[in-house]
Amino acid sequence: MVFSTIIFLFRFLPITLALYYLAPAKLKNTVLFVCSLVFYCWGEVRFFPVMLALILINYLCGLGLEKCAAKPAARTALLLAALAGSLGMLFYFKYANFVLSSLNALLGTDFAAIQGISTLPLGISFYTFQTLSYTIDVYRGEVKTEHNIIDFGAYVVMFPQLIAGPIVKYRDVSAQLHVYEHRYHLKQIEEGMTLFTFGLAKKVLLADAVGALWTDIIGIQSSPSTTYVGLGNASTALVWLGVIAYSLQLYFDFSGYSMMAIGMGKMLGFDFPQNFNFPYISRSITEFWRRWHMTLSGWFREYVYIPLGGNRKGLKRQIFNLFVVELLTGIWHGADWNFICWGLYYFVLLAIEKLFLLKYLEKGKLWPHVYTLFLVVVGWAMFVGNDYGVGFGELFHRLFVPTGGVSPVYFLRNYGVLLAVSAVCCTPLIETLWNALKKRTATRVATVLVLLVLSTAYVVGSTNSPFLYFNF
Amino acid sequence: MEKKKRLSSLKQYPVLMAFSLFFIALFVLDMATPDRAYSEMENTTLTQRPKLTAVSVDGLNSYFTNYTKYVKDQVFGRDQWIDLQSLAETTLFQKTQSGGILLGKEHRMFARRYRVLPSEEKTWNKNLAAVSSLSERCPGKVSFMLVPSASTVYPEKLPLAAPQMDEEARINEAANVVQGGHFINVLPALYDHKDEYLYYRTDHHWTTLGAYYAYEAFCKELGLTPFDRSTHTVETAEDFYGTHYSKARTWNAEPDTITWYDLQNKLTIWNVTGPGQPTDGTETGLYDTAKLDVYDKYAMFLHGNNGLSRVEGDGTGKILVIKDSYANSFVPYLTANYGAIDVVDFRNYNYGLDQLIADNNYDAILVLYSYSSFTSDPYLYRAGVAG
Repeated sequence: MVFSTIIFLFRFLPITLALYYLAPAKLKNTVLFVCSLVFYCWGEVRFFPVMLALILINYLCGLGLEKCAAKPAARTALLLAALAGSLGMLFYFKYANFVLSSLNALLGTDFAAIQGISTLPLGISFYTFQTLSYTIDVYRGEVKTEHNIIDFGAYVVMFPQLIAGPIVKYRDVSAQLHVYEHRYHLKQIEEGMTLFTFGLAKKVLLADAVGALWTDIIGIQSSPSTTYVGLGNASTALVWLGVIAYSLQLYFDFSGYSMMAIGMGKMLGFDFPQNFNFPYISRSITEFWRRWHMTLSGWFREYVYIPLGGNRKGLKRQIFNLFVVELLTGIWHGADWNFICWGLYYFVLLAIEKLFLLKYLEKGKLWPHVYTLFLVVVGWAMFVGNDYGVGFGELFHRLFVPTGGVSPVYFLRNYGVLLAVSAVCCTPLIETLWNALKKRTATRVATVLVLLVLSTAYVVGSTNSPFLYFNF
Repeated sequence: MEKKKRLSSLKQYPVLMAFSLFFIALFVLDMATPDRAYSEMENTTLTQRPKLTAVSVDGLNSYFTNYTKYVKDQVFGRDQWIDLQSLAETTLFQKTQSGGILLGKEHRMFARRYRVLPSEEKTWNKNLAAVSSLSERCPGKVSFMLVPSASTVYPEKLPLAAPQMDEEARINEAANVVQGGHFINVLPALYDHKDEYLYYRTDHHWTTLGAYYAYEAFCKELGLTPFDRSTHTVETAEDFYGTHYSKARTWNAEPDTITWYDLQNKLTIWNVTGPGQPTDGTETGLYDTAKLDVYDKYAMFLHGNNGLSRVEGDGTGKILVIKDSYANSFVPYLTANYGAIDVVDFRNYNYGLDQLIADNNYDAILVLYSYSSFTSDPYLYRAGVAG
């Protein structure tokens, strides 16, 4: 189920919240667990056992780790079993066919693709990382083993962050999961509702709308009869405009989703970590990765970068560690070569900044912004390079070799206001505006209501565009 | 006492109240309003509440899918929400398109067509081959007319710099496919009269007047005397909102006027059960005025797109018209020239033509399509103009 749909907004969410609020304190986690399972299964019931297996593997390993407190070998074996189970599932569904086809291409072998896994289990990239954080933390002794399988299940499959993050570590919510009475308070719920509305508006008023500029150029896979310019017919200026629109869409889509998730978390009484902090105002790539998808970078830092030695083992080792993290970040985003390129591209940029560039960037005023945005947009071009209707080579040729074709004038005229609004919403100006509006009750309520009504109109009015991060 | 305290504390959270009321109200209204069977505006049947047929993987999956569709189709105030989105798009965001329709000057709406799609290229070539083959099998008899879209006749009314493809060049490409027949190029005639009301603003069709100038060009090419408009009464119907409007849904759309000539000719809609000339049919008039009371008013012409029908004309000889809906407002003029006008719409006629042609020995065959359906509609070549 996607958040920006009528079924979610006007059926699932109100019913789930009502059941959750009305349920006796002891049963709240059960309600959350069951409703979240329905949410998870709504799109494809077949993946139900995948979720169940993942919960059981990590739950049992957690119990085992506690039992074998004094046997380091057994503990290591249990951790490895949990890692193999979780990552194995992720690998099977997400990467197996990519690896097979790559082997076939490289070695001339003839492995047949595995059938029936062309669609990924909903949110598998997100929840495998969440459950791993639990098992690793138990192994390290940083959290206590969870004995109640309902509570643990409620954490793993909790619907707000299930499909698109933020990646919530078990220890972020474990305390709150065991507060049964007074888990939430009205102020927190109100904050959650406000955040949810903003997230929804970001997703449907901005992301989907500005994304249409990009699909005007490359077409829509699910709707081949919808007209489009075609990458091969677009001028270089229009292709740049398109990639910028795609960059805006990606940010609003993903951060809108995270915001809705954090908002719903608050409605349920949980405080999820922040996932985006105005990434497009960064003054260096280093800063960009501190502001973009913060919970993923945090996860890799904590469970890969620092265990490898981080920056404590000399510069050479640090650069190597950086390489590993960025490679994994690329692979996490998708099973294709362009995502690996995209990850390595950021490794190179981060390494250059670490080696010498950062100190100049810190002194600059305007140019570090231009530098960062330019490289980030080029990064997104790599990211989208193998999508439907896009050829990696053709896209970069169009971007960097000036070519004539359909001009961007019409698209600037049609999407002009939206692009301007989008640009403002990428900066803290929008926060300043909200801070002014929320001072008075009337403007605060009016803002939320207007956004809710408009977003509903857009949800009903448009054929919904699927959430972009689904296949990651 | 406890309850009162809670209620008063709720008042301190007006956003919480507003948010909750919004969702509760919509939920209740959604439940309370009866489900609709059909949306006239969207020209489609709406999904009804599904039943869970089996507690199996497939049973649950299809139930979930259908329930999702059901809730989407039956949401409270669906039409009003769509109108509101269009309003926001055109006013707040100042867009020059809505629902995929280009919003031009003078409240004119245009279909977007940025390029020839790969699928259109294929269909176009197959359809051209089908027409070519027909003209070889019926030497000298076939006339071929491709009607341009409104944006080709009125490019200056398009939104600023809209990247519409060059339809005229494509239509000209089709000029030499008819072997030994006639290609009727209607563009010059339409350009000559472009300050008149040739296309509906809110619909993709040409008006009865636009069809007339094309008909004049047809008569000129075949050496016929055109229908005399001065001897017939014009009837009109106001408030026509067409297909473009149903997509764009703009608040300030200007409705169109439908006109037709008061003709008493008979129309027979045949029950087609096999190739060749059927024997069984329903007799009626040229116009279905009952359609003027529903949304799709254009369907009044020739009672919509029937598979095979015959108009009894006032002239001599027989003509076969193979067509899409653009011909529906064109065919009435042919009553001045022919004694019988047979009209085939392949979307509702699943047989080849050769038997029909053999049974009727037509004097002329007119293939009349809009550019748009000729390049996208597979029925023409599939149903086999080629046999």
